[in-house]
Amino acid sequence: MIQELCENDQQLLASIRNQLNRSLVGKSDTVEMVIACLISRGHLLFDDLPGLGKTTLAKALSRTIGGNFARVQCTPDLLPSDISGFNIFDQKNHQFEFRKGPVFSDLLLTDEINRATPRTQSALFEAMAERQVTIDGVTMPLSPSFMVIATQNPVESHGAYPLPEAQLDRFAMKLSIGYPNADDEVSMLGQFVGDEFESRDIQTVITLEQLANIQSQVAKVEVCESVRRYLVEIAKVTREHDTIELGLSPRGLITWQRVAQAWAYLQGRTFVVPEDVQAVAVPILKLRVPASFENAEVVIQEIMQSLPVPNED
Amino acid sequence: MNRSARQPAISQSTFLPPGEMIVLGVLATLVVTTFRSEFHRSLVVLRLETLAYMVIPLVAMGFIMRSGQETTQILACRKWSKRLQTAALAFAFLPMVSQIFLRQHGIGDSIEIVTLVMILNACWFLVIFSRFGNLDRGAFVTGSALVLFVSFMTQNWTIGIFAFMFGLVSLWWLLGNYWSRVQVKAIDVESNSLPMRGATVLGTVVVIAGIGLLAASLGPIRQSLAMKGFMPSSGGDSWADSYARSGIGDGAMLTAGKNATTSGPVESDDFIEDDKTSMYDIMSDKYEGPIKKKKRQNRAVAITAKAKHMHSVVQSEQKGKSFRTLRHPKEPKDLELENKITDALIFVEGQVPVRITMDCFYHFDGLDWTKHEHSPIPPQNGPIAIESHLGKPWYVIKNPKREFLTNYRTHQVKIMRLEDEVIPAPPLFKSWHIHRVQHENLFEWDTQGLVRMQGEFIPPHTLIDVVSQAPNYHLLRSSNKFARNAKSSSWWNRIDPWLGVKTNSKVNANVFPPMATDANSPLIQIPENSTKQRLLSVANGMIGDAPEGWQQVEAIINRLRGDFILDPTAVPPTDCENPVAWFLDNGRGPAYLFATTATQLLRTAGYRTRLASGFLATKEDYDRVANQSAITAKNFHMWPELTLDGWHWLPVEPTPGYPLPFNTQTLSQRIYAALCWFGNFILKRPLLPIAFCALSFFIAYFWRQWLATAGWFAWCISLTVLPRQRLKRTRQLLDLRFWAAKFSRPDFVPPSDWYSQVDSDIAGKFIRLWQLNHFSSAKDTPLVGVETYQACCDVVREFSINRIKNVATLKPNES
Repeated sequence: MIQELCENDQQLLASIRNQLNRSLVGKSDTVEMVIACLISRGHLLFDDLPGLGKTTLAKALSRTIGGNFARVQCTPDLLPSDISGFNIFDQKNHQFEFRKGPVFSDLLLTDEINRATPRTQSALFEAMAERQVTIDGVTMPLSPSFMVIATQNPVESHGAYPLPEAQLDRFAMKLSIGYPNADDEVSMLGQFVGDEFESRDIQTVITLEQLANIQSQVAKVEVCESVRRYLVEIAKVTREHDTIELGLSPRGLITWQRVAQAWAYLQGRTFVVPEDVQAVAVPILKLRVPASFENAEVVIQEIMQSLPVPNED
Repeated sequence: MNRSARQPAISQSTFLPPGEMIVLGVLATLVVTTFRSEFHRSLVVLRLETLAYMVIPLVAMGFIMRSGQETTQILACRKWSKRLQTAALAFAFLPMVSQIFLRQHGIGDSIEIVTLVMILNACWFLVIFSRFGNLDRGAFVTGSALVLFVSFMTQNWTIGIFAFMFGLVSLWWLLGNYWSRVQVKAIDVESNSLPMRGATVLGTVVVIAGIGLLAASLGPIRQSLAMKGFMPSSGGDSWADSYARSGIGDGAMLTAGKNATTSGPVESDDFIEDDKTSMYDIMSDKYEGPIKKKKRQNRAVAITAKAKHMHSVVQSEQKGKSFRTLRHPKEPKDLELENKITDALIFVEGQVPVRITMDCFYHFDGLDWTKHEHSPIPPQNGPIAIESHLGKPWYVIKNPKREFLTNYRTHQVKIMRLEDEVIPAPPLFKSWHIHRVQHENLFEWDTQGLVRMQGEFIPPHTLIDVVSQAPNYHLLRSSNKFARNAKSSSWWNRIDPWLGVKTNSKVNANVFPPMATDANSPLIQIPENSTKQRLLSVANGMIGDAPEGWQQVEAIINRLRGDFILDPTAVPPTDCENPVAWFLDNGRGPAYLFATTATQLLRTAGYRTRLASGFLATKEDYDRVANQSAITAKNFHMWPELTLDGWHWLPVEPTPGYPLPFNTQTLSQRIYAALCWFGNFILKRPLLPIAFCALSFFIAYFWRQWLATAGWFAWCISLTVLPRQRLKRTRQLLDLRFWAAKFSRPDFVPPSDWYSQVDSDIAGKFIRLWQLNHFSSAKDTPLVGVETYQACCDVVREFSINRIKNVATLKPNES
């Protein structure tokens, strides 16, 4: 349990925030959620229309943390081995040689994940949950900072395979970036005058070791019993809700707590308050509300309003 | 999803009985229920019970329909038919089981009625499951039997209509059943005979109808059903049941009629030949004869010279002139229950328990109670006038109205074998009516303060409607103005002048005359013997701290009822000189010693009291079928009566085991009494409702602010507690202020989000500390304590109700 926050860590987080806000103009809320997901060791699913900056944000994040970045463009003919890697026979040495797939990176961007077949999607199960892959009976660990940022397009349904619940449960958040407001769009356009699209100066501001340190600090953020009970009560409501077929799983509950810890850490606190739980409720519960349900946020709001916040222990 | 998968291919509605069957079942139920309602004590219970019996088979049917079994499989299965017949049998016995519970609450049924309901239950069960194994025939037979039987046993035209409808539907069903079978048989080439089942059913119905007719022709159903060895009777033979509708042991008079207005059989020879009973006979029958012993010449007599003279006059052996408290112990008699003839003296129709005052005694010399022979003793008796109510002449006693007499009770009294000129009426007698009697001077007050008829005695069979008043004990207890020399001791009395209460002592003096001026009244005299001082100390001990007035009376009565034991066999020895002292020593005795002692104690306490004798009809005497109470010599009872206002005699009951007067009131009577008390209370204090309304308006308008202010006081006190508690109290106070400003924080919104709407800086500082103290394990430190104190004070100072209101007007509560 941490007693006080490290000043240096907060500065690092501010730098990440600054870098990401530069790449995605006018979406500081989304950026904050992305950072929370990052420091809570969660995986992120972007569910939004094309051209809103999903890939840009993912790439900016990978540059910011200075790790290995890999990108997979999911298509129906993508094979699991295309993601995890495969053994190839080396005729020179007469031995099978393992060619690592993009999963062996620090940050994996799986673009249009719902265009991959369920078989290929399933290749990510082990990697996301346990940060390891097993190929031909050999289990290989992934990077400790391994993070999946997946994107999907909610509009185009032809040739798309909706993510199974087991896959969704492995994501920590489902974010929608949405259109920026008019002022931000004007500002964004100004940034691109006389400049190339890819030439923006996104710097690496944090090393993987520093990130791992912050992630371990986040894990130590205190969660008192009343807040934990509050989380459990909300999970119970999601499980009994008419609109939600599969409520929050215990894994989802743990993830929620961890993200709430990260949110508290971002707010400069060493303990979680109910506000933290509420702040990250929408992106977490969106994964459990049916994708077809257009007004998911209304349902989530209804769930959150059905329970009183804990005032005192 | 799964549910739909379980649904059988054939519609479950195939289970449901045909419409005609349901109509037949409902009509049979209506017939039996209407018949039962003539005897049942509680119509509500009867209806609920009937409804429950109708619903249970329906619920069972619902379970079968939801069981998911194939309709055809169930209907074709013989096992189901057997099962349902067994279930019908079990269901039929349900009324018998329910009797165990119902009789505990005094609303049971007679055996024959229970049998009838059992058959009805079987019938209804078969109706509901008539599709199963052709149970419709059984349902029809039992239903028809019930309807025919009941139709012959009653003359109720409603039942006749239901029976007629039942007959029509039965005919329809029989015809349909017959022709459907003809059609089936016609197709069946192997059989060329007409169906005989329908004819068999019809024959059965005719036979049952014949039996019913035969039973009806034998005589009244009550007598035929109460035959010894067949059904229990209501009493008088070896197989008695208190819930029996009638019995052979009731005697000619009880079996005579339904209520007191009928008079046919009571004119039988047996009754006319019976000797009339006087009160003296009744008294002797109850308590045995008095012990006569030689009186000593120098015995102290606690009466005035005038009364002494009167006392000496009544020392004859004439009946009913005196009552000696020294009596023979009563020996049990061997009563022959078989063929006992009811010795009812009077019949009373109306609410029980009720006391019927027949006599009263005023003078007590320590041994004998004697009557008052000359002019009536004050209290006063108002004139008797004749008034017309609903076209009937009523004799009305014109006593002044009293606020503590709020309720009225009506009884119908029928004189049977009692020889007395006094009108048998409950205490607080108000008015009476006798058919075709309206002679002005027929009734008069006697010297005992009772209304008597001029002449020898009221003729037998005279039916008298009597109306009496009932005291409102709320008023009697809550006011001490009935007391002598009333003082303004109560809290209300002190503020009454401020509430507009008129304190006209003259008015009160007229209504409740001070008794101190009537010190020589025989009504407060006690014998001048050695017991006088003891009575005084006992009375004072019993009264204790009770305020003067009715509460003192109740204190004495309650102590007597609680500390002494009723023992009819515990009578004073024959040489006893002072039965009252003996009773106080022994702590037990018969009812007349309780009444005598209570009268003496009340007189000692200064309350004008007399000894009344008469009858007490309890609920055990009430015949629920005849709707009346037969009063016999065993109902003889004695009790004290006292007057507070000088006009009305209030009965009290000091004997344990006997019901308190006016204690059993119906709900409407209780409500009316409470309303009267409340109305009287308000009327006497006209400024009270105005003050109440003004206060209510003031509170309603500002109550939120007031509560918030109270919360602030509580918060101020809590500033001395630990920082953690202080933060909690501050948060509660802020919530209270938001509520007072009608901008309540919804319970799902964290305080930080809500409070920051008013002032995010000040709220943020407070919230940070509040969260630190309640959601983290960080311990309070001296620095945090000081900081907490300052933050709490700041936020409480800045978050005033008016400021919150200003924010609320800008941001309406979206919750």
